[in-house]
Amino acid sequence: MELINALIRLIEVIILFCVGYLCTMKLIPKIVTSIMGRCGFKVSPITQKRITRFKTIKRGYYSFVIIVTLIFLSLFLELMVNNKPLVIAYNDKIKFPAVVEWVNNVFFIKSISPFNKKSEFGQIGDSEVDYRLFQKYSQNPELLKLDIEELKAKMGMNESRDVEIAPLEQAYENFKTKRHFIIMPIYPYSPYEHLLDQEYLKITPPFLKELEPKGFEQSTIKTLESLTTFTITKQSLKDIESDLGEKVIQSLKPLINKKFKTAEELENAIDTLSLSPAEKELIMKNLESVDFNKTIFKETLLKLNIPFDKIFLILKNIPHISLRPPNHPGLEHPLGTDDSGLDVIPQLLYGFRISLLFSILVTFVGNCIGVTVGGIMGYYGGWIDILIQRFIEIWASIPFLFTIMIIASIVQPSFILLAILLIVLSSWLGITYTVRGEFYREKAKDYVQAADSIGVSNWKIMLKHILPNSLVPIVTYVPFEIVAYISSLVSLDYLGFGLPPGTPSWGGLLSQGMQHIRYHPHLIIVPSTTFALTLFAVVIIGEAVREAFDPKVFSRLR
Amino acid sequence: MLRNMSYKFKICNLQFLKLLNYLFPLAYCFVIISKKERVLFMHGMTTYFIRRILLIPLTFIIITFLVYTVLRVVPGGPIEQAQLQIKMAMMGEGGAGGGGLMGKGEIQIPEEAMQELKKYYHLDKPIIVGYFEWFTGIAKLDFGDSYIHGEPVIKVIVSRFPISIYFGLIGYFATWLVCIPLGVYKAIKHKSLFDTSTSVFVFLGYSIPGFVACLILLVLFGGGTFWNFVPLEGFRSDNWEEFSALGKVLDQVHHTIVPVIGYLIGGFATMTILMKNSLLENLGADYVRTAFAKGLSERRVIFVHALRNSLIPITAGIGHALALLFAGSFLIEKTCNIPGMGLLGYNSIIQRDYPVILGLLVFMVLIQLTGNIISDLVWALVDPRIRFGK
Repeated sequence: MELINALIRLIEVIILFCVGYLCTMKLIPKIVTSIMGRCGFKVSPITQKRITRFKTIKRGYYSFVIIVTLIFLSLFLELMVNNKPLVIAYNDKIKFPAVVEWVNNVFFIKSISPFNKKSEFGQIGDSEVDYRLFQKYSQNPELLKLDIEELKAKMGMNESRDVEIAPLEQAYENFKTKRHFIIMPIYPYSPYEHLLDQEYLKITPPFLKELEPKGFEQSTIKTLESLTTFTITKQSLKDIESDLGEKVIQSLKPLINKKFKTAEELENAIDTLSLSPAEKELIMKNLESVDFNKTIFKETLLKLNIPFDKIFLILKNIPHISLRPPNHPGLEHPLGTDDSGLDVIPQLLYGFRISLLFSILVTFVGNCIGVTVGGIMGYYGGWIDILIQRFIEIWASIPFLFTIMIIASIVQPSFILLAILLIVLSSWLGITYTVRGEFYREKAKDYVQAADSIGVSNWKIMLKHILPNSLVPIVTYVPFEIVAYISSLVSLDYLGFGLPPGTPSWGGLLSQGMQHIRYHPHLIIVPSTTFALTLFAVVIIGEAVREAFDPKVFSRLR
Repeated sequence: MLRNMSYKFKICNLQFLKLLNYLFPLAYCFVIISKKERVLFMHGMTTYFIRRILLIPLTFIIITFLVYTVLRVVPGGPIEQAQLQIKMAMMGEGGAGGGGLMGKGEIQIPEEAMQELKKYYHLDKPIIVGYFEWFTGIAKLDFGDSYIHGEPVIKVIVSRFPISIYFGLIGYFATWLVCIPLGVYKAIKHKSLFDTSTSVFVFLGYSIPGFVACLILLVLFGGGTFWNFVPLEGFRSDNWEEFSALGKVLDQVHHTIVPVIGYLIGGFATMTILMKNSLLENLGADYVRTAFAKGLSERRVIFVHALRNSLIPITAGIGHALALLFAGSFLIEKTCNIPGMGLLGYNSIIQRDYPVILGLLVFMVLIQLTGNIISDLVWALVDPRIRFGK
C-alpha cells in the first residue's frame, strides 16, 4: 500500500518536471522574444549563432536546462512541498492554505493569512491545525476513535485535564459520514514548522517479553516483532560507554550495525561474548530499534485488529520520546531530519530557491551598477576616470568577509539587507574594470565617432551602440559570479552571520551537521552533495557559455 | 655578480630609482626573464608606482576610520557587556548583596565605576579624538591591550603567525608544484581523455568552497560513523612535546592534512586553468609556428620558448601570495578548530574585542595593499609589453 503511494508520488514528481521543462524551454522563450520584438529589441544574427553554438555543447546545455527548470519549479515550491494542504474542506468550510501561503511568499500580498485554528477543523486547541493528522483521520476514522478512547482513559486516571471530548466525538461523526476532503502537497513537510509536540516511541526487546504474561497471543507478539528490527549503533552505545568499559565495546564491534530480526537472535549473538548479566541487560536496554512515530504505530496496531484496551497496554509499556534530535534517513524522512526535527528535503529545496534567487539578484543589480560606473569611466575618461579609479582602489581594499561579519553581528540582517550589503561591498566592483576597458576600446572605433558627428547624445551612444557590443565579457562572467555569491551566502549562514535563523538555508544545515558530525553524518553529506552538484552545474554552464560566446580557437601545429 | 647585472641596466634620470635598481636583480632570481631585456622602466611607470605607494596611507586611514566609527557607534560593546555581567552577578546573589546599588529593581553601576570602565576601554573621548589617539598609537606600533586576553594585541596576533605561515607556505608551494605541471600537461594534451577527466576534478574543486571539502573529509575520515583516520580538531596533539622528531612531524601532518586540503582546493583549480589557457594561447601564436617551421624540437619549443611567456600571469600572483601567507580563512579554521588568525578574527568579532579587531584590520589592509603593488611591480618587470606598451 505504501509502495503504491510512493510510486504515485514519484510519477507526480516526474510529471511536474516535464511540465516545468516544457514551460521553461518552450513557453517562456516564446513569450519573452515576442514581448521584446514588440518593444523593438531584436536578436541579432551573431547572438543567434552564439546561442546555437551553446546548444551544441551538450554538457553545458543540459546543465542549463536542468538548472533553469529547477529554478522555475522552485517558484511554485509552496504548492509542492508544504505541511499545509492545497485544499481542505470540513463541515462546510473550504480553505486553500497552501495557495494562500504561496501568494504571500511569492507575490508579497499579505492580506489573507494561511492560518487555520485547530478548533475549526476537528482538533482541540487554538494553534495551527495539524494537517497530516487530519489526513490520517480522514483516511482512517478509527484512529480518531482510538485517540478519543485514549483521552478518556487518561482522564479516568486522575489526570485532571478538563479537555472536552465532545468536539472530538463530533469530529468522529463528521469523519465517518464523509463531510471532509483534503489534498496535501506532494511532500507534506515544510521547513517552517514547529515540531515540538511530536511523540515517538522507542521499542526495545524487553518490552515485547513483558507482553506475554499480560494476555497477548503469540501471533500478536510475533507480528509486533516483525515490525521491528533491532540494531546496536555506535550512538546507542555512547551513553553506556563509561559503564561498560573499553574492552566490552571492542568486543561488541562486530555486532555493530547488524540488523537482527528478533530479540532472540540478538540475545544469542550477545551470549557469545562473555558478559555479566548486568552488562547484558544494560546493552539490551540501550538498543536502537525502529523508532515509530506514535500515530503511525497506532495505525499499524489498528490494522492488526488488536482491541483498544490492549493497544493502551502496549503503549503504556513503551517509553515515549517527545522531541527527537537529528533522525537518520529512513522511511518517514527519506533524507533524515535536522536538530529540531524538521525534515531535510524541504530545507534543501527552499534553501536552493533562496540561495539561487539571492545570488541572481545580487549579480544582476551589481552588474547593472558596475556596467554603469565602468561605462562612464571608460567613455568619458580623464578626471572622472582617475577619481573613480582611486575610489575603487580604496573601496576594494575593505576586507569583505570581515566587514560583513562585523555588521552582521550588530544588526540581524534580513534577506534584502544582506543582498544590499553584498552588492555594495563587492558585487559591483567585479565587472567595472572589464567594462571600462571595453568602453575605452569601443569609443575609439568609427561608428561611435559617426554617431557623435550626427549629434546622438552621449547616453544614447553608450546605451544603444556601445553596450550591445560589450556584453560578451559580462555574459561570460555571470555564471561564475553566481557561483561566488551562492558560496558567500552559504559561508555566512554557516558562520551564523547570514539570513535570520529559521530561514531554510544550506549553511544552517552544515553548521548543525558540524555539531553532530560523529553520529549523524547525513546532515553534512546531504547538503554538501546538493551544494556541490548545483555549483558544479553552474560552473559547467559558465564554461560552456564562455566557449560559445568567446571561443578561443586553439589552432596548434602539433 | 649581482652588482654586475645591475651595472648593465640603463637607468632613467630620476635618482631614487636606484632603490628599485637593487630590486631588479632580486626579481631576476625569482622570475624567468630573457637575458635580452635590460631596460628599466620608462618615466610613466615610475610615477605610476609612486602614485600607488602614496595612495596606501590614504586608503588605510579611510578604511580604519570607517571601521572604528562603526565599532564605536553601535551597541553591544564592552561597556554593555560589563553591565550585563554585573547584572547577572547581582541577580545570582539573590538580591541580598549590593544593597545600595539596587533601586526599584533596576541595577545601576555607579558613575565613577562607569567612568573608570570607559577610561580603561578608551571609550571616553569622542570618536575623532579617540581615533586620533589610536592612530598615533599605531604609528608607534602600540596597538593597545586586548580586552579578552589582557595581553598586548601585537603579542596575540604574532602568536598566531606560525600557524598561518605554515598553511600559507604549504599552500603556496603545493599549488606551484602541482598546478603548473598539471596545467602544462593539460595544455599539451588538450581535449584528450586525461584532459577531460582532470577537468571534472578541477571544476569540482572550483565549485566546492574549502570548508565544505573540509567538512566532507572530516565526516568521512574523522571517526564517528565512517573510518577514523584523522582527528577532528586541533593543530597538534596535547602531548606534542613528548614525541620524537619524526613523531612530531607525523603528528602535525596527521592533524593538519584536512585543513591543508581545504586551502588547496580553491586555488588549485584557478591556477591550473590559468596555466593551461595561458600556455594554449601561446602555443597558437605566430612565433611558435615560426619555431616549428625552423625545425626546433617540440620539447624545446614548448618548454623553452612558449612556457616562459605563459608563466607571466602566474608569476604576477607572487604579490598576492604575500596576502595568502597570512590569510587565514575563517571558515576552514572554524571547521577544523585551528587556532590561527582567522579564528582570532572570528572570536574577537563575537566577543567585541575592539583592539584586536582593529589590529587585525590594520594588518589585513596593509598586506592586501602591498600585495597588490608588489604584484603589479612584478608583472611590469616580467612582461615587456606593459613596459613599452602603455
